[in-house]
Amino acid sequence: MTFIVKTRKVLLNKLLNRRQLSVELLHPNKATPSQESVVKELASKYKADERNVVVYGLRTSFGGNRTTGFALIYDTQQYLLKFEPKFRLRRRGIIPKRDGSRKGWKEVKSKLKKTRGSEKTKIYMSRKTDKREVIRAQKETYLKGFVGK
Amino acid sequence: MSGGLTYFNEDFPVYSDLVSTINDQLQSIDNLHVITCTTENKNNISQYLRAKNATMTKYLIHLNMYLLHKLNYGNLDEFPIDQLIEDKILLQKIIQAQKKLQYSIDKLSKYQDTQTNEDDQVVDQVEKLSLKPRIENLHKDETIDKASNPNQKYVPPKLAATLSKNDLNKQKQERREELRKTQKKANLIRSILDDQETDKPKEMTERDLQQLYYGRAEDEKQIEKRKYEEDHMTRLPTTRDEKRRERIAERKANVTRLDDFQEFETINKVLNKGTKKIKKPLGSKLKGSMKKILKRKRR
Repeated sequence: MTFIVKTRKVLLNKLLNRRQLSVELLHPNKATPSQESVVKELASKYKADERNVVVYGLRTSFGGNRTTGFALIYDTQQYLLKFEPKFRLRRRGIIPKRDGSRKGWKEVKSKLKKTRGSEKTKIYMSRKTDKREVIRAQKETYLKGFVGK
Repeated sequence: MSGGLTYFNEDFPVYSDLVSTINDQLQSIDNLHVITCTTENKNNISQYLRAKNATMTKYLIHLNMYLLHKLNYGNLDEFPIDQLIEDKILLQKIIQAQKKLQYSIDKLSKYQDTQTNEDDQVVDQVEKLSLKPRIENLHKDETIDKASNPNQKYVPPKLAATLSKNDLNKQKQERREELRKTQKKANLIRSILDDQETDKPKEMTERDLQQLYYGRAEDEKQIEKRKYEEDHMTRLPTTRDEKRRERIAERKANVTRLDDFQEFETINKVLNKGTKKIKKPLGSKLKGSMKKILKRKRR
């Protein structure tokens, strides 16, 4: 281990079936540790599956040697998929990333401003990539391939 | 003699009045003298009054004798005038001291008046409490104020429960004892948990945080931001001001480092980037004009 982990404000959130805590990493004279290494460390300390641990918001303080961040440790993968926001799931690769360019979306938006009613919904639905049904299907496929420890 | 008698007859009624007043005062002094002699406390007042009383009576007697002697055409050389002068000077000095003792004399005289009016007798012992000032007389009569201003609103008195100093100190002590007990319990539990040797990482307390941030120049805004981020488990975007501050702080921090000479090398490179080094040809001496040019450039 190249860094020391310290926790703060450990809270058991029963409503969302997870433990949420703020993490402090001490790594003198070394670069900031990666998210994966932090996830491994926390999973081993709290005896949880690595796939149920989410780390985000890592920020090194001025001068180095210390980073602060946040961590969420879910009870099961189902709760993770249910409560975790989509952008973090996309980072992990559970949901595939969005197709299309930013420019294309801006063009659609400008069209939407000019239209009203059913035409508007048609234009919106033609462009929308992250539909609820699609995301549900993607999650189900992921869970099928998921093998618990 | 006729001239003197006429003057005496003219002034006699005035003189008689004066003598009668003196006689009355002498009687009051005698009464006071009786009180001062009979009381147990022998103050300076009693001594003063006795002296004053004696000298006054003596002086008056001598004055009367002198007048009668003069009217009867007696030989004034035989009369002891020096005694008169002495008595007068003594009286003057005694009366000068009266200002200092006026209050206590008034007190005694008032007491005497009250006692004589009640029983027409003089009491031996003085009651101190009766002579003390009455605070009741300082208060105004509310009935009189109401009668004068009937439109006045009734303002109730401000009442508030107050604790005495002893009670406050007791409360503080109780709180301290409670804190000590809770701290002892917390330390016990912490020692038990430490003995268990779990793999979980150590939890940082607020004190540890304070030690971490001790000595850092943090603004109120930065502290607020940090607390908000920790409470809501989010990261706020960095503003332009924060980036500017970081750059300034970085520059300041780099200046203080004495062992790191890398910056000086880069600075020198940047400074010497545009200049071309003129190499001196080996084995050849430069002639007149080239020497001058070199000197100018080196400068």
